[in-house]
Amino acid sequence: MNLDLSSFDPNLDERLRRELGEADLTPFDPAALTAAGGRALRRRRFAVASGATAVVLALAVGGFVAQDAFSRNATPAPPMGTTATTAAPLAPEVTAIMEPLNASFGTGTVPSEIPGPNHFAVTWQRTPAPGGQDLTFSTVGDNDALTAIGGSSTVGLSTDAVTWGTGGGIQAIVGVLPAAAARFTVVQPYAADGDHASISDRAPMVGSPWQAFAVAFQNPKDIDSIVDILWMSHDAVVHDKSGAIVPSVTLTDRDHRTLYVSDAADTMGTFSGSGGDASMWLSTAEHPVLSIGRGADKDSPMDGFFGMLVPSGSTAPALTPNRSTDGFTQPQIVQIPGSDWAVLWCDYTASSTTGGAAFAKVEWTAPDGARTTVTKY
Amino acid sequence: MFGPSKATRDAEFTAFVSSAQTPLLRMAYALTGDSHAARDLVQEALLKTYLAWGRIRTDDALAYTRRIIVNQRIDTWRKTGKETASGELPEGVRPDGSGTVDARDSLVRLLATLPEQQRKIVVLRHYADMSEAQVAEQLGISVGAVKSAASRGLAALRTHAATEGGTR
Repeated sequence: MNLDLSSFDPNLDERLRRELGEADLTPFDPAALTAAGGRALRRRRFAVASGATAVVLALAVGGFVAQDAFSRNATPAPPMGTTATTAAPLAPEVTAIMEPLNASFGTGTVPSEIPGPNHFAVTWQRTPAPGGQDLTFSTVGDNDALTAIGGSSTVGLSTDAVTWGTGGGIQAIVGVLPAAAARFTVVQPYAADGDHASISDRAPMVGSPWQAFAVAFQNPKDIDSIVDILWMSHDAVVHDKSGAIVPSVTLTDRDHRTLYVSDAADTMGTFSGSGGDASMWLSTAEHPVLSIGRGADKDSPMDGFFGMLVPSGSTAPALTPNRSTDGFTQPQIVQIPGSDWAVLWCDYTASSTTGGAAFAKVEWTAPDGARTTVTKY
Repeated sequence: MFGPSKATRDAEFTAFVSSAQTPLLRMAYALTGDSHAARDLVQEALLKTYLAWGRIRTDDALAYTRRIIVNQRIDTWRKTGKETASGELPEGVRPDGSGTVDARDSLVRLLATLPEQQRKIVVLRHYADMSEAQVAEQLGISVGAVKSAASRGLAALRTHAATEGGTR
């Protein structure tokens, strides 16, 4: 880089405009954006659908298949199944239309085109059909016309459970989460790998115990490898797909993370207060580590979170930083209620210039009094 | 008072997007240093602008959208995907670098080194051509704070430029 410092300030405006003018920024299609705005507006107004305005359900047209071919992941009804909410208004059915799951309005980390339909809706009927079906999953076409591609039933299902399905030529899952879900994450083995991106959306279903969700996958095989769908309520209680509570604890780190541990899904992860989520398999190490980094670009310092699972009851944590670590907060050990684990955690900042592990050594005192040191990882 | 009809709203909004998207995208790029994040940010801001179209005048739409971009930049940035996780002790784990600035965007890259508030103020003052008073109103801070942060931001840019210029 060769900046002319003598004229840096006077030319700042001009230089900034010139550089920004040369940036490769893909423009929007104004008409498409306007249409998306229209859909968002309709969804906002579409609090409750009346029976008279029920969506058009055009079953099994063309390449799409009907309900039976739509594989389902509804979990068995738990012993203490709850009843549907009785909150007014008692509309006979509720439909939620999500945003299209395509890259033109995506993050850039998903492919430009996910094959097959990518715009979905879910309809919930207060009174199930004779066969028990009360959920209809649809694709959304022009003028918001819905084409049913599958169905499911929430009858007997805990309202803390998650149910979803796929089929009909879509490279996505469509389903419902509890209305109380503030966040959710799909647990599957390749989520963090390249070419395994996904994109999702949710939409409220006012007047029902549910909210609609859909996730489109870059790699269709990821759908078959889904292990679980975890969700977190607004008061930071984490649940699995069956509705069971997953052990978790909310930390006082800079992102106010809620860290969870699911033995059943072999995963530990966090929902951060700023909207991110990350996870790691438990079986990767005797003391699993979740290290989360965030930096503006590859040349800037990185804000990191470090969390290692240690036996419940452990004390006296200590960390030995490596050269790349510019600083870290006092390590803490916090118990994870409902599990045999505690988490040894800290926030840290790492320089990008020296590289290498941020911590050379992690130590704590186990419940039996033994000092434990982890240096190889 | 009723808002515009849908046809009117759509026509006005489409025209607005056509004319405003380039400066908005560039400002978002200057703020984020990431083309994908900038696009997400502008998209979200424009959709909110559409929803509010009935209560904002066309003349105010640019300022309205710009305010959303400035005030929600961080939130949107962090919503753009999963965080980068590692199962090992930290070893310089980084988000996907795609979409970040390239070498020719030297000033944009330097902007990314500034603290967020300083970066906002420098961009609003020197790209959006806003006065100190306008920036203060936009960010909800005093004019003095704008002056102070702008001064510190420019000094930091100068320092970074000197450092990088001397190392290459």
